Amino acid sequence: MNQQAAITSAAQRAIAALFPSDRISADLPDRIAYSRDLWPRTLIGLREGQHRPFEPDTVVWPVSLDELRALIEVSIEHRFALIPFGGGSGVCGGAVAQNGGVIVDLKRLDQITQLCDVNLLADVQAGIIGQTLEDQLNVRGLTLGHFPSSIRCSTLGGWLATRSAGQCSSRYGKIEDMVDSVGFIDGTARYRRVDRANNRQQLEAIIGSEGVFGFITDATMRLAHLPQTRMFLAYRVPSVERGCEALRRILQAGLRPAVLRLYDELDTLLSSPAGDRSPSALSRATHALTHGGAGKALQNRLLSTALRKAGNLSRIGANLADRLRRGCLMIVGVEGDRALAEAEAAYCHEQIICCEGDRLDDEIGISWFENRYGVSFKMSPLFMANAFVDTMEVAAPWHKLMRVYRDVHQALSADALVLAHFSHAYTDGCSIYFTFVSRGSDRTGAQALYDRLWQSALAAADTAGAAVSHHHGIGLAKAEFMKAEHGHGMTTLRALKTVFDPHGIMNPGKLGL
Amino acid sequence: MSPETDLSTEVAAIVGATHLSSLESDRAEFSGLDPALVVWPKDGAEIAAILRLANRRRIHIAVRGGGTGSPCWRRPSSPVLGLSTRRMINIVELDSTSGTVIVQAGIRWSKLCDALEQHGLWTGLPRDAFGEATIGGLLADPPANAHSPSFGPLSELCVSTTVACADGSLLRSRTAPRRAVGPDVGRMLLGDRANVAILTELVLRTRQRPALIVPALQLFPTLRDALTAARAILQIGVRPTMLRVANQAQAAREIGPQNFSIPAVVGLELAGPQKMIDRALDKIDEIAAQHSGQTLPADLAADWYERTCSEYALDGHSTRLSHREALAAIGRFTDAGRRVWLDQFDAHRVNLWTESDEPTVDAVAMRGSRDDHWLAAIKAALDPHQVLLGAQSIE
Ligand SMILES: Cc1cc2nc3c(=O)[nH]c(=O)nc-3n(C[C@H](O)[C@H](O)[C@H](O)COP(=O)(O)OP(=O)(O)OC[C@H]3O[C@@H](n4cnc5c(N)ncnc54)[C@H](O)[C@@H]3O)c2cc1C
Repeated sequence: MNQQAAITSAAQRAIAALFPSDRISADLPDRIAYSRDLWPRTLIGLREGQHRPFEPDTVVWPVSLDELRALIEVSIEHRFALIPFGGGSGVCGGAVAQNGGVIVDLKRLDQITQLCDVNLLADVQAGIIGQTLEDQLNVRGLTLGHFPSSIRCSTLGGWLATRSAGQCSSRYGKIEDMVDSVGFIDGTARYRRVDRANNRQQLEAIIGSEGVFGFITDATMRLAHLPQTRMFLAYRVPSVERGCEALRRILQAGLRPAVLRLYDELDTLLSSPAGDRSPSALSRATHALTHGGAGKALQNRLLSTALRKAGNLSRIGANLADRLRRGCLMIVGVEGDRALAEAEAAYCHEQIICCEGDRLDDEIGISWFENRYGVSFKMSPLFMANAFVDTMEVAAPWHKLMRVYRDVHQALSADALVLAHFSHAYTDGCSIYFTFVSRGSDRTGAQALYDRLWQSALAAADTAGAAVSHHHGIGLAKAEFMKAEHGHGMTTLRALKTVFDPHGIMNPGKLGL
Repeated sequence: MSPETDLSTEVAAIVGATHLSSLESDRAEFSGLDPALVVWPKDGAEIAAILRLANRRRIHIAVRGGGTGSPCWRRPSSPVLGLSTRRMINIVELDSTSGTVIVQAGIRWSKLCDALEQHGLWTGLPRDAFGEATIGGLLADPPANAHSPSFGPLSELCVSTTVACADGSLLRSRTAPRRAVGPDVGRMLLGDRANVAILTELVLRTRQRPALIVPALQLFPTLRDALTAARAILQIGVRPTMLRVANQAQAAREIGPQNFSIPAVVGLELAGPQKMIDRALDKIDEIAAQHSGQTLPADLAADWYERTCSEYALDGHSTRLSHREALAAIGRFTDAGRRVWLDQFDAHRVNLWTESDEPTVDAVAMRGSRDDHWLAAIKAALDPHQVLLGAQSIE
């Protein structure tokens, strides 16, 4: 039901009967505010006056499962779309009303309803903001261990719906590893509790479903004790290849350090704490590009010059990094019991040295930790300066990783400045997080270039054997790549859709469904 | 031509005349079903072709792996074809860089472990744990002991799958770690018991065989102390590859009757680099001491390890409980002569085993249940002609 008709006035009245006036709105400011998530494509439009790319008809803020169920029933009767909305921090256009409908903001479902420090399990409502949850757990000496850069503006439900990854994923796992059970209301208004022990198959179907099957209303999450100690080590390794080898050795030996991050040469140079601070023109230019450190006028000038030939800039940057033999920065963080963490750090050190790593000042790691959420929020100056920036995170087995790195890099480099880091590693593979910066002549040009970059990069990733997303999900942005990713598995996904959401009311168009 | 002959001609055209049988002895392998024919396909493509045939002719298919389980098939009225994966025993590819191995579903666990060992790899679960079971059978219907505190449940071994869907299509999921591309369809079909799809090929993640594997054994005055210490060990971040807690009667079995006076034990297996193991052992000693425990001699630990690894039998009834529930439940087992043990630990939950079902009734009440309504709906959507018989395990 992709082509939704606008909500009828009868439907509006039926919805209005369910919510008090302070928890429902069809006012223009709210419809504008909820007309996009943080998909960068819509930011390009926003800069040039396209304020409401996906305008919903109404926004509601439910506080109970009963309200949600009643809303679903009205939606089935009047046939309008429901779009679950957490923090709206998604970067793929997953929480938008593509063809009108009702945005269901779940942030009022924000309680920890039960916490057991024997089992280290907490029952939590899905709308809670990540940092609020973490703060409340920390007071009890506990942690969820999930630290996405967006922790202050994303919700538990959003994390589960998109299979999110935090910065300490090598120790605590991704969000799908932390969940013990979920409470879920499907598109027929049926509530079910889906647990790992008895219903693993169903849990696997709900996690990552991006709202297309129903609402995740609450979850039992696995916790850990707050670490007694936390240590950071920093290294310079000669190349991405050697750095990846070190990551692989550490994980395949069975170790689980909390943080393992490897920056490619250009990312090391530009955006990492060990980056080049020398006053060379390129360094200043690119630093200004990514950090917005220069004055506005200078920034604009630099951007125009630099990005006119973004591909060149990428190459110059890579060459420069090569010439200076800067190598790649690697940050290792260990935490937990002091003696165990020290032993882990010592083993990591041995492995990195075996891969020709040079130890750097620990301060670099500490500085990364202190600023760990910062860098993702420094993109606005680029948009203000008529450029755009986006990130693409893919995952591949170790034996395909270098090919994926090179091919995606190449696909993007012709038209963009490209940086990459490796920040979620497993025994069998790793994710690569590409950041690309470019600009077009005007909005239409910029959006066309943006689309082209995504198309060619995702195609390169797919051909090289990578999954098209490791933790941002699909939304609208990558919907057309679902066929390439799942092949005949799309039949199974469509079957799940008919089982959970036979009326087709839930978040239409996302996940290619 | 009888319908059976007709069927065998069509099946033979898919698998070759020598790979099917209507002999009583072969049919008897599908206990209680009496299939018209038994077929031994060589790969997923042949299975998919058989499924297409089954859809066309409206016949049912029952799947058999190593035959070590006790599947309980429902008896349909129309003819049944028994499908066994016994020819699908190949290691298709082994990638030592990613530590992944592609195997056909019919390979037996022990053979897989042996093959991995030759390449310096392992799964983290004991070779003798599931000896003659096939990897397809284990992943389609995981036994209750298929879990390691370090590696997680058996399903964690599996990175991706190739399955033959009930409609006769072949579905290969992408091999990449931890994708965020919607629900993980391939992994969703693990545990399916051949209800909507047949596992034909699996990509498994392995690890390098660790330089060192060390057993350790701690003695405790009560089962409660032992369980509390085991929980503390995990929650502090020690990741043993095996962890068991046993009461007096079970300990006597695991360690030997001469040690019958031991009230409760925690037994562990640690694997990894020497220094990591040393620190972990220090930590375990420290935690044991806090719960009135003490370390038992290394020879006793080695003896215990030998026995538990080779006699990994499932000779009891298990219930998965949270630690708090398990603590409450063991309070009921005051009779030291009745065997009680706990395994499949993680920091949050544990399996409680008892000799007989009867005393765990309360514990069972704490357990959730399978959502049969959902399973039936998925079955109807993906296997409209009910071609796959699926199997209900007898627990
Ligand atoms: C600056 C920045 C940094 C980021 N860093 C990271 C990072 O480190 N790691 C990472 O994984 N992601 C990161 N992201 C992406 C984003 O934060 C994640 O995708 C996050 O999981 C989205 O959560 P949310 O609550 O904002 O969900 P939303 O954006 O509101 O929604 C995302 C999708 O989930 C659905 N949804 C939301 N809640 C529910 C629910 N309760 N039930 C059913 N469906 C629901 C929506 O319909 C939508 O399809 C970052 C984003 C930004 C802007």
